[in-house]
Amino acid sequence: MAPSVFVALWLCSGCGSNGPSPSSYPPGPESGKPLHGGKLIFLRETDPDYLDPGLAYTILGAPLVQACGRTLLGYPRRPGPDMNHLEPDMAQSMPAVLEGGRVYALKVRSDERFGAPVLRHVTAADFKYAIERLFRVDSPGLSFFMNIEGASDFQLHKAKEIRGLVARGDSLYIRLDSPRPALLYALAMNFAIPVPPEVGEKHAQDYSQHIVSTGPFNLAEYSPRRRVVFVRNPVCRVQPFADTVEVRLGVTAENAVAQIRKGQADGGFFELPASEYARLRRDPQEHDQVQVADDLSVYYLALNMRIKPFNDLRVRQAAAWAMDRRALVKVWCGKGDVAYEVLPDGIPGYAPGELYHVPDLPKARELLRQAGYPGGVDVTLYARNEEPDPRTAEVFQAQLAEAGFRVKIEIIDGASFYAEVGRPSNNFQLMLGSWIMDFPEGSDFMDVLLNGERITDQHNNNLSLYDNKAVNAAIDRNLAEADMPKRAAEWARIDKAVMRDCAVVPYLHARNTRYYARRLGGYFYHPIRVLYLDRVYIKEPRAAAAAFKAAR
Amino acid sequence: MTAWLVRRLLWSMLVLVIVSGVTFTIFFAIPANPAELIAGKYASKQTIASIEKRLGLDQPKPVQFVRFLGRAAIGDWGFSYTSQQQVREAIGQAFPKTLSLTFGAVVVWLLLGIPIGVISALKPRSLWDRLAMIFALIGISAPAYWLGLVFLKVFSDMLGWFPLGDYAEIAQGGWGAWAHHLALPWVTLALLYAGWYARMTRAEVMHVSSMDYVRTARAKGLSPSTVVWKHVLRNALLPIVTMLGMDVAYLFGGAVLTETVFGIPGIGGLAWRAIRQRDLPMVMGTVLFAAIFIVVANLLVDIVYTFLDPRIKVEA
Repeated sequence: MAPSVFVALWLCSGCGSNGPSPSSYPPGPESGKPLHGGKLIFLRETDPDYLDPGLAYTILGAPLVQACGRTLLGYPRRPGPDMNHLEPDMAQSMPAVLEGGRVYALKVRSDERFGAPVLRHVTAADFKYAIERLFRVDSPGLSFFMNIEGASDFQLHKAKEIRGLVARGDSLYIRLDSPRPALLYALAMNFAIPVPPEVGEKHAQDYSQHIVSTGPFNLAEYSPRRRVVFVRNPVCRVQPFADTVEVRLGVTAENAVAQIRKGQADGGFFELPASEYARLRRDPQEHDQVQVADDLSVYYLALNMRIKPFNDLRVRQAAAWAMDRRALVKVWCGKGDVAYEVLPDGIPGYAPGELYHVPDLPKARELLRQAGYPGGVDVTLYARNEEPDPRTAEVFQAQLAEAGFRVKIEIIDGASFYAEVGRPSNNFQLMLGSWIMDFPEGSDFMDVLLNGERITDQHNNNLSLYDNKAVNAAIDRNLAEADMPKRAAEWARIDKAVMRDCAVVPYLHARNTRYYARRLGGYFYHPIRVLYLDRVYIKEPRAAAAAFKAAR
Repeated sequence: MTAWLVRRLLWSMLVLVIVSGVTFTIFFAIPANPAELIAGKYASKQTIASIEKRLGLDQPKPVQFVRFLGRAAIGDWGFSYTSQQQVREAIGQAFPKTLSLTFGAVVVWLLLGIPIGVISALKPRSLWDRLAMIFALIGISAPAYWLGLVFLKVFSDMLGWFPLGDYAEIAQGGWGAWAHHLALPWVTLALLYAGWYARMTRAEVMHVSSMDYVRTARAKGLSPSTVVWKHVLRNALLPIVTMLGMDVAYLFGGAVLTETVFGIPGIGGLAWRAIRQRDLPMVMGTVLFAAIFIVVANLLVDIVYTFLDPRIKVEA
């Protein structure tokens, strides 16, 4: 072979896709006939935190964990307005609620089986084991199950099992300390994915490498920093379109976008870089492949209400009147909506905020003067070192300066930021906080971020140290409320009360962006599951479809 | 020689202990508790305390350090807090990738840097010299991540000649795929070093060329190529070898930027992720691993000296 031919072959090997070109497929998620089988390739830069369902706790890791695991309750595997509503998944039906909301009774479907190598029926004992295991592995999901009767004793090693969890055959009974309807959402989280005790005990330290599936895929390979490979789980009730899904790790977002555009990969679990986002949205060929969805999150300015100057309502109001939140959306490259309330649109109880819509600098200066700071006041704002937080902090600095706040910015490393701002003893005055929901219910925001009874001296999430007795009592009452519409209305009322107290200044409900290849169909963003890997498929190419029609 | 070697080895071990101690101290000086990071955003005090106990972080710092040294001495570098992988195993998986990257880059930069430096030195102030020095300046000035991104855009995305990042195992794709995937990272990394080596070689060759013995060699009627090969280069290469030893050892510790841009799962990325996640065992493992290479490289360079220049003798 001539050297030039060899070089040409070498250069072209391994970097092109073997299938039809991307333009052979119709654009968008819903077009094109689904093909069964085949291999899908997804990309992401970082490893999942864990594949162990008891330990995994990142939103981008969710699709990987849930590829191999299902829960008693779940969410619809189709897009639509009801996709945040709970429905039975591995359970036969929604739970029976007994004893005034203190006991939940569920029954596992008779056709649920563990994948290889266990290959046996999933029983209620496997769910009980999975929840108890959370305490053994110090799971970040522990707090969602602390309301189960006897959970505290089990954590303190005073009991050998959680007495509030009773498993009899396929029936699981959960008894709570007090009524907490939000438990149902916890049962749909990956922490409640069943684990067979025979494998969980054998691989207590490295279950991530030995996942036993109850989901549409089995874990075939997990090589940290290289790839995760899933193959069809033939015994699962929910069958995927694709036979194999490979998630390649360590691919930067820029390289991932190029690979997807060229048809070398089908999608990814990464946020589109701002420059690529703008370019792809403008490109008529790629426009339909970019998916933008609400994160169900809130980004806010937390004001420490225990120390000067923000212990004075007028100073907090001055800060709120000084801020032009529309400018922040630009900092976020348009990936978000302006927030004037805590609860994002999509969470039951969302009601648009009515206060501080338009900046009013004279009013802000006057409030500051009334509070005893006619010459302005020095404050320090703490932010993470991860974009766009530093730029957000600079915008706030400039805006607050107009009202008389002399803001000094302190940047903290992202890994230690929440540990630092979560220590009230640090006496931080202003902080850039954020919260992405764990489940689509108001308690995940209100109880965590704004209930004064939840303030702790370490790992505190109530950054403003807001402690309004009336609001605390209202939150506590609503946590036990089982009537969901009534519950949602109360969250909206509490949200308004918090805004009146100016406990936090929300500024953005973020949106996330995804980019998928043209040959991929069936994708939709699910706020909790992110992406159902079993619902995505390879489309039939246009030429093949036309030839098939002509032949008929 | 044996006594010298033993003494050097003992000093090397002391250096490794000091490096470990400094890394350990810096790790705990950073205000972040690994247990809090693992525990998640809802963690209670009890959960954090339980994790600290499980990881041994509840022990006094000196006790933790001595325990680490004791385990490390017998080859047990512990488990990663996050991936739950054995540190030694993770380093063992990452090192061949870093080795592949370093090996190819060294070949490229030596093939570029030394000839350019020699030609430039032999024809000072000529067009070649000026072009060579402009090349060196660009190589030294251009950041690796920028060069990498430009190469990926042009040669992978636009022209489609090379893959868009990723690493191909020899066992799976063969030597061709391995080299094909690494060609751009090699050139990216090599350009930076080629610039340094060209400048260094030029300076050394010019310096040695002005020595009396070189003039004598020329006066004796030796051909210009013989003078350059036998008398100039052999002496001019001594500092280059020193630099090479240190650079290679340094790169074995990971070329973080090049690895990240091209998605090569090497030691650099492993260390970077460990630092960000406050994964103490992995941080200690990767730092110690890099330190071992630097210490060993120093030792090897000293030994190679004696072969390159017979006037240098190891003194026991």
